[in-house]
Amino acid sequence: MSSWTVFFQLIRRDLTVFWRDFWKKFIDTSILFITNVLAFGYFLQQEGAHEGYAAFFVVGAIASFGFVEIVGKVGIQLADMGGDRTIFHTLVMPIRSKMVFYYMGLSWAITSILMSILLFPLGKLLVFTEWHLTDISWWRLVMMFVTANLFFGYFSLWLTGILKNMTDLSRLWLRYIAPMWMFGGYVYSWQSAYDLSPVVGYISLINPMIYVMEGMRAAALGQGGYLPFWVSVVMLWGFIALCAWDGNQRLKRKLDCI
Amino acid sequence: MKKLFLRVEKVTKIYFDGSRILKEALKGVSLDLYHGEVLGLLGVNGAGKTTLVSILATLHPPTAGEISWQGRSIYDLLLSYRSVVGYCPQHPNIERHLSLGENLVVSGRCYGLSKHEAEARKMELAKEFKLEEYLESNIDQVSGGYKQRFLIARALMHRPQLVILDEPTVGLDSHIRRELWGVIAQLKEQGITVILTTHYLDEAEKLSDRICLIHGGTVRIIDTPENLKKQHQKNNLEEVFLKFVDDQDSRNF
Repeated sequence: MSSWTVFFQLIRRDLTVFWRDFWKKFIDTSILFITNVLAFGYFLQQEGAHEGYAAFFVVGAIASFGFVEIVGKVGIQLADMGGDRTIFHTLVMPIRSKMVFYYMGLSWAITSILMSILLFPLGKLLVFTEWHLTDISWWRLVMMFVTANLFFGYFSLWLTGILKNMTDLSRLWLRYIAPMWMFGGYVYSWQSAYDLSPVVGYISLINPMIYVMEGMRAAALGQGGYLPFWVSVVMLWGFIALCAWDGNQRLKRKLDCI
Repeated sequence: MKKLFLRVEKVTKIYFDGSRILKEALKGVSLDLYHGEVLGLLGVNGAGKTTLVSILATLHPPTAGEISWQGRSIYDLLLSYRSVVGYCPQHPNIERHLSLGENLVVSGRCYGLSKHEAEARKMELAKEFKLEEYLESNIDQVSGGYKQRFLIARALMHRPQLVILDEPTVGLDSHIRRELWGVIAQLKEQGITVILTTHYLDEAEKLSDRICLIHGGTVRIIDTPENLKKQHQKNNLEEVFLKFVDDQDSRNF
């Protein structure tokens, strides 16, 4: 029997749990998504945002909304580590502990993908004429969508490793996630940041969210005006590897497991 | 002749806070565990019982020392060793979003049972542990006694050769305790090796083939209940234990 048997059974278990609340969660996510798209995509155009800004915004929103789902998972995991410790049952199963942590990141990425994939048709409906399907490079979009969500999954794993408890989590949103999101090109492109000041542009490059946004927009709206697609892919895979490796080390120490 | 199942040699466990030693929970514990025996681990709170069983369940690593199974380190045979061990922890660590029945099946499948086998085993254990009417309930809907029964049932899903029960009867009323005693006695009848930590001396005396008394992170006594009573000229294990605890200078032992 190998670790993979347990690995896939654990993912299957998580998906069973995920589907039970899927529609409730999707309605919550959709409300936030629609609110954001209407406010930023339409009302902002009344304030002078360029034509096509709605499509620009929608793609960024689709790219990042799975993250909302995953950060919730960090909270659940931290609560578990401080309470029931169901993870301890997993850690005595015939599976290596590093595989347990890699499964967690992957499982979170899958649920993030499932949560945000339905935002594509919803986004298209909201900005119907502004987002042309002919602009989409489908294989690039699939590649970047999967890569972005894997990054969210393993970034959340890393957060679980660095946060001590639930109190820290409440600070996480305000201190880290919100700035990372807002300065990660959620409402503007990297080129706009660079045009404002090259220093701001270069500093932005340390934020992985910029690669998520730019990569998704390059795939869904066309390469023009965004960071090169392959730079975004390579940088995100670098961040995925780093978060997975460091998150694994930290969780191993934190849970004192073999 | 007794057949060796597990050998624990000079196992220590030190908890650190950075580089500072927080606690030395185990100080060179050595013991042998034989096939089919029930080993009762006794000790006051903080003696190191739970630390030791969590190491034997491979939840936590020891700081030093060796544990061997089938003549090799359990860490070299980690996945094989884990697949023959069933661990029932002190606190219920049960997935809340799944029913008890689903929890059992998931656990079984993680240990390599097919869907059909896991379902069949679930029903078998549900009957044995009187959990049938709670299979659709989740953890919050059952009493402490049933949670404990469930934890033992879950530990047995994959038919382990070694079952580690960490204070399985703590906080339960005497009626349910007695029922669980029957379950542990059944495990023994089935030839399963059991490590049982408990605070209840009557329980340890009744169920254990051998008693291992841990105090201050070291094994102070390990023998059969009968030998201990005879050796210390006491009528029951409780008196032996009290004599030990009262005796500040344990060199008498």
